[in-house]
Amino acid sequence: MDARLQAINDFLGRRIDRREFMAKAAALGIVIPASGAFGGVARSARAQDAPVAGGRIVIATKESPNSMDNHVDSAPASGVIYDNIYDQLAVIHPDGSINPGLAASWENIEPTRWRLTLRQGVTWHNGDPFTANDLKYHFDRIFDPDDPGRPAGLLAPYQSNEVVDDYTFDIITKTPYPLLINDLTPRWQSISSNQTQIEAVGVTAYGEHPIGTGPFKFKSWEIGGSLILEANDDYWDGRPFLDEVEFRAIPEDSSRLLALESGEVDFIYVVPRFEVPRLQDDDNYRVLEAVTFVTSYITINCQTPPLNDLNVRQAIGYAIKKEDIIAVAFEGQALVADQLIAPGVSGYNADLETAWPYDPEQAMALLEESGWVVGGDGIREKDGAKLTADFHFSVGSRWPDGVAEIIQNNLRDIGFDLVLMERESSVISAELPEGLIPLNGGATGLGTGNFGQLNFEHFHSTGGRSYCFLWTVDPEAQAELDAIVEAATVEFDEAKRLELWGQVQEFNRAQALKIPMYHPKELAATTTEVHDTYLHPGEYLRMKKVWVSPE
Amino acid sequence: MLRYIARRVILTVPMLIGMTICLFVVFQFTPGNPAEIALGEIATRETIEQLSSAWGIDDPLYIQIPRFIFNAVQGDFGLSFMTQRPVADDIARTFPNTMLLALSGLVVATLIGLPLGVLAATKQGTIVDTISMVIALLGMSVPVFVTAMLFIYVFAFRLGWFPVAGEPGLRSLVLPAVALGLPSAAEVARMTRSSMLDQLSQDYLRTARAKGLRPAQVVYGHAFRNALIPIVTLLGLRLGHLLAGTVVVETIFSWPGLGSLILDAVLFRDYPLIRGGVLFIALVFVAVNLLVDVLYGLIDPRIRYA
Repeated sequence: MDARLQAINDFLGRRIDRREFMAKAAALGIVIPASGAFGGVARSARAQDAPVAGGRIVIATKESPNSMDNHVDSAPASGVIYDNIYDQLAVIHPDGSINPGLAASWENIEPTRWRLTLRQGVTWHNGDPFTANDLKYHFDRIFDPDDPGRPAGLLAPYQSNEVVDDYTFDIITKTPYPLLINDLTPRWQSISSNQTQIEAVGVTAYGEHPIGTGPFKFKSWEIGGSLILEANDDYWDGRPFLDEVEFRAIPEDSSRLLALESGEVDFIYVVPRFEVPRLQDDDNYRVLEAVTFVTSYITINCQTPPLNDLNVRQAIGYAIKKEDIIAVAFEGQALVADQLIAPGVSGYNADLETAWPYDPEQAMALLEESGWVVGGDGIREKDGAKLTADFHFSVGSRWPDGVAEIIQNNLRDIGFDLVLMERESSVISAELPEGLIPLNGGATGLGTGNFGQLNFEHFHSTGGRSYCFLWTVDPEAQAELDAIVEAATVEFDEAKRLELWGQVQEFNRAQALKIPMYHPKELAATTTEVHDTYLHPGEYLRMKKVWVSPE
Repeated sequence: MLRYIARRVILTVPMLIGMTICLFVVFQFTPGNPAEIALGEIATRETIEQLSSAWGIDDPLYIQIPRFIFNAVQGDFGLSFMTQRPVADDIARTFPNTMLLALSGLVVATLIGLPLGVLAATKQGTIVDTISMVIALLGMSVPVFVTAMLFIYVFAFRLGWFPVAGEPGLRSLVLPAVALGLPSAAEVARMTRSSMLDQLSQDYLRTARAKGLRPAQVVYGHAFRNALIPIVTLLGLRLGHLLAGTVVVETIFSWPGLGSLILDAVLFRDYPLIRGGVLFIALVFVAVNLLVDVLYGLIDPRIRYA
């Protein structure tokens, strides 16, 4: 790996601290953006000024929320609202550490029982005290078999709950599950069900009249238009600085940018990458960057010829020049991934050397070893069959325009004819479990999944996102992998668990089931009047500490 | 006339039932399970089945279709999968915005297209005629999203005359209405010119001039009125197209309309919202076409319906 990329990855993986990174950056010529960001946290140039209470900001997002009830909606646009009106039981910080939220502490008292001690003195926005009975109502509602909530799909190990006393709550899991608390940190697991309000307005209307415990409370919502939150004066962690936050949906990227530049909004969430250099050069604006916990990757379906040949799968890994993808398709706004799990996410092992370096010579040597000979058209052949496969993908923030074409060119250089199939994501999702997709461009991250299960989902034969079908070509290898994954899933000793997950990553490297590609950066921009803005690698958008210059 | 209207209304019923059946059948063959999309890829099969059952999407069609029709005639189109709000509420909230935008676009099309077409026809063969038709051609040729972005950049961002996007109020309507109406204005101008030229060559107008009527009376009192039939037809059809085609303008201008709502519903496989939205738009189409037919009778007394 390039020394500069290695330094960046080491910093993001917390293997070196900021001081050491800055020293290396100077020596290696790494340019630190004026925003002071390089993954993780962006600080304003005036962070040394004391925050000022008061004021409001208008935030333009790409989409408008569908509901403010996470029982019914898990879209990212609604998630930014949950980040501010609700709390989670535990909170993940940018470095991946898990910290107390509504749960002040937790303990695994039995292999399948976690005991949460709740924070006292927390009140809902309607004044109700927050107690363990609220959690019971919340989880019973989510896991109601007649109307399961969206969070149920992301908490598969959950079995039941028990109220011990007002501030002690037990969660019982189906099997020993060491990472339950990790799985409770995503915004989709926000504690959102206030029984008093639901009974008062009805379940259907609750999504438009939510009650949470978060730093902001709901004020008004013109559906499809502005959604306004106001400060919670009684927030358990201190009142936020801002009096109000207004969210406004502007789907078109150019319109959203113009709204910032015309002064109609103060903060835009999601900035077109090609606009970043121009905004960074403009003293009126501040660009925020954070390398996300997301990993984009290629899934290889082992049962589909020629991908059932291990040498072919390995050749794909060696042939792709990720640096070009980042430079061209992302305009530098991404980081090369060396593992499926991102730095900061449970399961990431910084000591592993599991990346595929760009080595087309090695790729070609592997193909020739398997008998793939270059044909007259430059595409390799063997026994009358061409070396070709379909690559299915959906263009979006994690697979932007150009990525698939670069991969296609890279593979063509080694004599592999990659046929690009751009399709709707829901269609691909329906076909992946059926084994109909030979190669797929996917992505994983905090916003769509959870920490504890990422490795299980991707590599266990029953995992929700395995899609590799290794058992069809090598049942013994799959059984071996399953055994490692199962052992890691129930291992409570963190060091042992990390070692086991490391074995999973090494297995992946040996079998070339999933090719990790890159971690995209998240981008936002504000005016210089907005301070202490914060981009979290988990794609949260929390306004608790944000403040604006007085007018 | 009343019997004609009643017959048209009654014929709408089997049309809507047929559309409903088609929609249900199409959903059966469309890849993507709404429950799985809502819950995510890692959701257990058990949870997906529970949600599918709660939503009624795993019931056979011979149960789903009658149940939907029975509820729909009572105004209940079900709950949106995305929002869990009544579909009728979401349509009631967004359709007026779309109708306002479409009607405004039609007004723009009429205000620009009619005078342009009359001018071109009365100045046929002159430079005025040529310029008018070139303007019309440009209006039809430039994609609406290009016009929209140009308007935002010039009139909203540079000049500051209008908001960029997302602000409530009628000022926010001007730019999207003009962007939406311009292509239709071009069509209206061309149709008006053609229809007017046809009328201006008729014998009855030669008689009118011979009788001493002023040119303005000839053009506007006689020729224009008789030229209106095909123009009204076009305006009626254009309203339908405008209603269906507002999604691009709604997206660029952040206009909360039915078009963008249905687009989101399709991506989410929100069957109740898709059904409700499509059937509602079909109803509006039928109503608009009926209105056009009634207008024929008012414009031209010779037209009578059995």
